[in-house]
Amino acid sequence: MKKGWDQLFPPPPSCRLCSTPVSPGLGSGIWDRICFSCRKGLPLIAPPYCRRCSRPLGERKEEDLCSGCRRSPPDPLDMNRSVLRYTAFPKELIRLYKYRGRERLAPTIAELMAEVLLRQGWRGDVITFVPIHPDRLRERGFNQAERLAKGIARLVRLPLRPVLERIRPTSPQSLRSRRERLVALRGAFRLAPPPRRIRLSNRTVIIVDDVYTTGATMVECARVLKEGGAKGVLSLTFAR
Amino acid sequence: MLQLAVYEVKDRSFLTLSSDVDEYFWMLRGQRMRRFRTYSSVGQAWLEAEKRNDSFVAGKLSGLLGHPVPSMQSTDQIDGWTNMKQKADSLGRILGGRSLLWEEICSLLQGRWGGFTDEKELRRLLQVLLLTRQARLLPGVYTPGPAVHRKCNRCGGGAEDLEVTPCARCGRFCVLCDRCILLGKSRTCSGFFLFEPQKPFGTPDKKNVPFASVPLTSAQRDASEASLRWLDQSGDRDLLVWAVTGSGKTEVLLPVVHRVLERGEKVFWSSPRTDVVRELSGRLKRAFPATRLVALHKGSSQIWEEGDLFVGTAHQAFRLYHRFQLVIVDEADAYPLSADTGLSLALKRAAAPEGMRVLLTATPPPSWQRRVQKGRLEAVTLPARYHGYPLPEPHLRRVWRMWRKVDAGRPIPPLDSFLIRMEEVDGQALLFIPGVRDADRLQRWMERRHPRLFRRVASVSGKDAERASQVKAFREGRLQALITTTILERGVTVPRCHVAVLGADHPVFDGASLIQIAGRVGRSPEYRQGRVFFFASENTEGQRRALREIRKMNRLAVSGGYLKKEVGS
Repeated sequence: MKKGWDQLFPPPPSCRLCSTPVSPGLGSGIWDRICFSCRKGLPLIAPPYCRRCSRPLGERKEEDLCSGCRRSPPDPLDMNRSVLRYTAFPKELIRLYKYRGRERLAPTIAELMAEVLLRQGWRGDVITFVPIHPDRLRERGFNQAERLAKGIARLVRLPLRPVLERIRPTSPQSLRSRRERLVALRGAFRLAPPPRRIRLSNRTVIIVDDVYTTGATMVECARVLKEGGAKGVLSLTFAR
Repeated sequence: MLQLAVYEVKDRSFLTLSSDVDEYFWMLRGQRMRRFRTYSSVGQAWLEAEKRNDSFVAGKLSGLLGHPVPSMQSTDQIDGWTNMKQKADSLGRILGGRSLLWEEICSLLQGRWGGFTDEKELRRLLQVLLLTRQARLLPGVYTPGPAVHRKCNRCGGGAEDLEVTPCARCGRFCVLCDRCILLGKSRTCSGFFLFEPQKPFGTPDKKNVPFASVPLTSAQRDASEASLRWLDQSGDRDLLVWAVTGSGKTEVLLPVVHRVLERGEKVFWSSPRTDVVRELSGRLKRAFPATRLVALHKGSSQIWEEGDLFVGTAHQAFRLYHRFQLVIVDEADAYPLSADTGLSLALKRAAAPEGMRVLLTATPPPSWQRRVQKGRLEAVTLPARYHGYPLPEPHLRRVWRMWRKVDAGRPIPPLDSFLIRMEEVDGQALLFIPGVRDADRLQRWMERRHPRLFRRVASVSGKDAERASQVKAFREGRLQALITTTILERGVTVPRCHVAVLGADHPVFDGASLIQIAGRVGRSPEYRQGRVFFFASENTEGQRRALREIRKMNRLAVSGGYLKKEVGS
């Protein structure tokens, strides 16, 4: 009975992250499809941020690099952009998506990321993602970064190529300190063997991942890509 | 990952986890297995067996009822089989009375036996359990041809809850249930096992269960006796206990629980929220000091433990099967049970086939009330609060264009006088609003109209990170008023509480919710000045129903002689 009624008079669409009804206009963006209270929990990284690693900066506007990036030498990763700060609600979303496996969240997160990518005006040639080890993949059932990359690639109309491959299983980065992370990942990635290998020279690659903490994973991936001839490597993550 | 095979014997197709067990089984019967095919997805194997058995037309039913696993009488006397069966039985004793995904079986055995090293052996033992009908195996999600017939076998989630995703485990596209995902992924390729509880030999003997009974009021005693009568004599399997807010319904059911435990049977007490589970398990522990009690909730350490009395959120019932003689469903009409039909299915599945069920609520929906009137549902009413004072009746106040006045900062005389009086009698107020956005509007109004009170006001909503701390501050009296959405309609009790509902004509405030809201007031026998006000520009059915039912309960309490004498004048 209720179902038939809903067919005739469909209920208002609900928020993409919860069940609150929202009323977006036709063709409105992703942010209008998220309800007021969810939006409050998603802290967008707004302009004063580091132009290299996207860390939010305080008041100092004349300098556009964060203290970490000013000290460190230029690394293979040219630039990183993140959509949100990694606060309580984004953390919960990532937990639901990645560890609980709520794969339904992937299109929404991808849309939020694609919007940032378009706003950024990046000229990429190829989109790829951070690979996970086959054992981990079988355990989890899906690669969270791949799903996001797929959604983004479709939205921004760029080819998605699984360029990278993880050859060494590593224990979760989230359990390590900053220095340990950098060391632990050495040699964990390589370019995928021929059927998946593509020409990288003179191309800019955009890597997609869910969370950017110290950037160790991204830098390592970027190093592999640059050694493979990539012109530029940019990275896009959901939270940092 | 689960490896399966489908084979044929005598033109019937069967499904097996371990083909050597089945080979042995059919060898004993002089049959040969033919046409093997192996699968890495339970759903695929299931569909294949079903198709070959030509039950595809009746696919929807046979998927849940018929069973493509051969069955066997347990009278076999062959040594090898007996040996295997003994081992399987000891596994069955651990898994009995649970419904688990393959991954959950692994994690349970991890907790119990420190893991089951030999996966092949585990599959073999499970297959013995399947052959002897001590267990059933279903695919996590049943995926017949037409997508509308897809169904999650664990939570009953239909097409709108299911998601087709590429799955790295089975290497194919797999259907995943989004509805019960917080309990672990139920999907096409994973197996969902239903283990029958192992019956002790003979009839369960009467046990002596120590019971620290609490003194009951006359209303509670009457309700409790009526419930016991239902348990012992009635043929009805369901009982509705209609107990007003703050009546002490837990105490009423303790004798019933005690009676069932004494028979040597098991009880599940489901309650809506984790914090209620924690609080309730403490109370039950005190009432039944010698009973093995298991508290189940998200993050509980007791999830895989055994016991006689289980307290848990309704979601935990998904993991239990045919185990309980008595299931008590607290707040049976409220969220989350009202929002998710799968949960009531889970509670039914957790009960034994002949198990009984108590539905506990302060606000039975009209459909239940009609069933009671027609005699189709047995009911016990507990119309009076434990302290013997009547329920406070809500005062309905009509305010024309209230939100416009709020936005403009104009006076709202009835609301002003409510707040002033509340301060005079040294109370605390809960101000209910329909939506999160209205909190800011109301706070701005308070700032202009009641600047002194404004300093001790805060607002909470469902997704607020500071919700717990704000509620705590209110409980401790550091806040005088709390602006809240319906999330605090249950559970928050402060002794000197007043309540105002602003915009009580909004559809989120239905009758049940308004009755609960009104029930926050007058919980303490010492403080009788608490008032309930509904401010609305329209008179709605919800408000009328709340008033009608509260008055009805007070009348019943008077006629039952449950109220204190000095009141009522």
